[in-house]
Amino acid sequence: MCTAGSPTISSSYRWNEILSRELGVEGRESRVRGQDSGAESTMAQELGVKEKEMPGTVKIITDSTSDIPAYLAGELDIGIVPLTINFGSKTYIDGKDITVNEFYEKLLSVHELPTTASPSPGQFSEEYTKAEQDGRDILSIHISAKLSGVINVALQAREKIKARVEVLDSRSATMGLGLQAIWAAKKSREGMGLDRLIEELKRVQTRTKVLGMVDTLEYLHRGGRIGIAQAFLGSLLSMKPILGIQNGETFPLERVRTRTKALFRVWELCQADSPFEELAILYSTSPEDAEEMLNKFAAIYPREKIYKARFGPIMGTHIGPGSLGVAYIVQGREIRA
Amino acid sequence: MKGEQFREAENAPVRSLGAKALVDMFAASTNVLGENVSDIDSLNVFPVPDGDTGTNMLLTMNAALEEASSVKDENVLAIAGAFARGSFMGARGNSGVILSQFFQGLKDAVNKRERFDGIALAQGLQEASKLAYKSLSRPVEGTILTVLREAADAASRKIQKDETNLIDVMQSCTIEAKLSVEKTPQLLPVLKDAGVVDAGGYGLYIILQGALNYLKGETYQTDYKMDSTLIRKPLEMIEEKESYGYCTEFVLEGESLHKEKIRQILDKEGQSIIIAGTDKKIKVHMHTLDPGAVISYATTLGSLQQIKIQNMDDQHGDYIQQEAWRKSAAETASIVVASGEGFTRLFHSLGASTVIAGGRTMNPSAREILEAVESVPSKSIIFIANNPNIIPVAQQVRKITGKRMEVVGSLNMAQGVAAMIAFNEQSDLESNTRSMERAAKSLKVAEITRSIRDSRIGQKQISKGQYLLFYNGDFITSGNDIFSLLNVVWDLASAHDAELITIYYGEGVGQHMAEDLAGEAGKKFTKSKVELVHGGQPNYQFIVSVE
Repeated sequence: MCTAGSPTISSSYRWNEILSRELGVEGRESRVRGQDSGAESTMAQELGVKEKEMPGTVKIITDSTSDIPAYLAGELDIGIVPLTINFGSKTYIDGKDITVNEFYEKLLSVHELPTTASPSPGQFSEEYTKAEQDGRDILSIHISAKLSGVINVALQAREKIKARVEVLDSRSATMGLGLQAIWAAKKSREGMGLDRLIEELKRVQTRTKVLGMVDTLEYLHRGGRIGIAQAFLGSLLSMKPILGIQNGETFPLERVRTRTKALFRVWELCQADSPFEELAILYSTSPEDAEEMLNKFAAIYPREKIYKARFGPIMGTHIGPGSLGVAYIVQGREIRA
Repeated sequence: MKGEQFREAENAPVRSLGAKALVDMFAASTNVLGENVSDIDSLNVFPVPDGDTGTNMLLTMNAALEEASSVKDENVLAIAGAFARGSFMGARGNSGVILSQFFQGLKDAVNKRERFDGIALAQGLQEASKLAYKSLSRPVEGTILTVLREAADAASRKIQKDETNLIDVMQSCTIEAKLSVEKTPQLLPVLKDAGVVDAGGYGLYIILQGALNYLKGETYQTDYKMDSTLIRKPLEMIEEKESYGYCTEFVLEGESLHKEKIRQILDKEGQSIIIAGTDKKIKVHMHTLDPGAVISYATTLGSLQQIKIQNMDDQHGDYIQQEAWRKSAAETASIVVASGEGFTRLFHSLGASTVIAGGRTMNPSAREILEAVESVPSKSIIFIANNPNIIPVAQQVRKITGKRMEVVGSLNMAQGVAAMIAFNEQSDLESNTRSMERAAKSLKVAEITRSIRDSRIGQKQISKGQYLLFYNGDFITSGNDIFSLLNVVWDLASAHDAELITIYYGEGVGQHMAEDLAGEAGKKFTKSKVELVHGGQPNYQFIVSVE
């Protein structure tokens, strides 16, 4: 159910309505049915409105576990609901009170592991309400429910919102979630509506992968997440596990004895899934390794389209310094309706 | 009944044998082989302690005889078939495999014959030779292959001249075999350098000579008796028997709780201690054999809540069951051959479904391998050999098992560890084999053992007891001091560039010495991690990998 936007002409919702009427097209539903929105762009150009500035009808909102670089979130108008990190008794809002660099500095210097907490319903409401006031539908996509309780808070918060809020489990984490949000934001700008977004995202999720290596098991161990991983690693001390996120959970994929082999293996495993629709390189504290990995991928994917992101505090707490990962959406086949 | 009448007249040459006499003849061969086992074992190119060609051939012959002795049919084909079957199953090492091909050849040649004559022997040897050459991707002359081929050719020449009495053909191929054995150093330079003839070839000659003696009536031991000291123990699986104690957790509320001090005290009570919290409220987790003591102590510091105590033996039992289930549900199972308790445990911990005990010289029989393959639930098997002598035996098993089986040709257990690490039970057989082979073959491995006798390798004089250094299978040098031998290894392997050095120390090596060696390496190569593992392997004091 959609609510009318504000009556001022700068409202995006109103623009869309006006344009559709001018084109003789019956509102937004026609876009959902996949009609050509090229005419809309032409019209927009004629009216002197930069197409880029027109936000989509759907506002994409995610949480800070997505590790989306700040500039990108701004550019694509993605709302980020932050989690909080606690070092001892001090509380920091992810992305606001503490930068990623500061986080890793602290991580390496303190004796005890920080703890993390989901956003409050109020923090969700803040983002939802902003979008509601702009007259937009909301797609709230979040870290896998198997890894965190964030999505439950989202579901709580949307009770209070009159606008249409769809909460979607990304069945992934870090940039596996981030790339889905980025994908959705781009499609929304192109005019894709909420129903179609959700339908398509469910397919995108089957093509979304995250995998990477950790340099030390210490953080997984201390965070109590070692579980299966310990058995998987066997009784040798020197082992670099390669982990992946599949079906919403982290899995040990392979194990290797040295960092060099691990980095190479990560590359080997990922490039086998090429071609990509979206690709991101992730690192916690080794920018040189990330750059090297990026160079490798630049040989098979346009360099300017590769995102470089950092494992934020939430991931960082569990995988520690020296980690490196790759998130990607595999190119899908075109399904002709 | 003491053998059948096989002479037509007192001095007539033996023309052919019936079923029972055929068994007796090879029993005689086996006895002569048994008398020469240690000589053949020591005919190693290198004076290393794990020479086992003689032992392997004897055990293979024993297995063949056991099978043949149990056959009720008094016909030559049934006996020949039994020899083929028995030697196939009992085959150990490369020489054992060749022997099984020898018997297979004989069986093919017997075919519909009623008696075993010179033609059967000649054709049998030719068949065997063809089989043996065909089964190797790179046949090497100057080995048992050459001896078998030349003996076969001598036998063929005999029957071409229409001389088909068994004893005549046996005589000519035995004489030829002896000459061939004596020529092997000329064909294979390493033999010449070592001043030995080829062990497998010599063993084959001994077998033929024993058979000839029997035909000449020069041996009186026709009743077959198996040497029981060589009977192998059945497949072993080493199970962990340590007790784990109790997983103990609680929340402690108090005043001025000092986490470090508490940790120090608890350190004496158990392991895996995790303490988190503030000076007023902490959560404690640890594994201890005496949870009562821990709880009592904690109550002196404040009030306890959320106390949880779990018997980890129960958990562990569950874990083992879980692991067993997990392994059975796995698409691909891995089977490894290992010697030494440490290595065995290690392979289990890395996820091997079955570890076959390799014995002192890493020589499991085809039967032992086949039984392991058949008894895992998975239908796809990756077999990790860990010794070049095991590879041909595994290939034999691969031919007859109904399961899909691939052999990873690791040359030692360190390479086997690399292969096992690369094993991914979620992957299919082909990709697993590829990545495991690659991991094994690319690993640089040094092996150190002691010389069993005074010897000469190339230009180097070796004294008994000196340490011998092999690197990637090649002999490098010898010396009296392990520390200096290791320096040679570091140079060869470019250890200063390495990320990880793993030292597996074996039977008879003191822990202190091993730790000293590891410590020195650690100080020298600051870029690298040094991991010390008690492999417990026989014969090789140190196995070192550098990556």
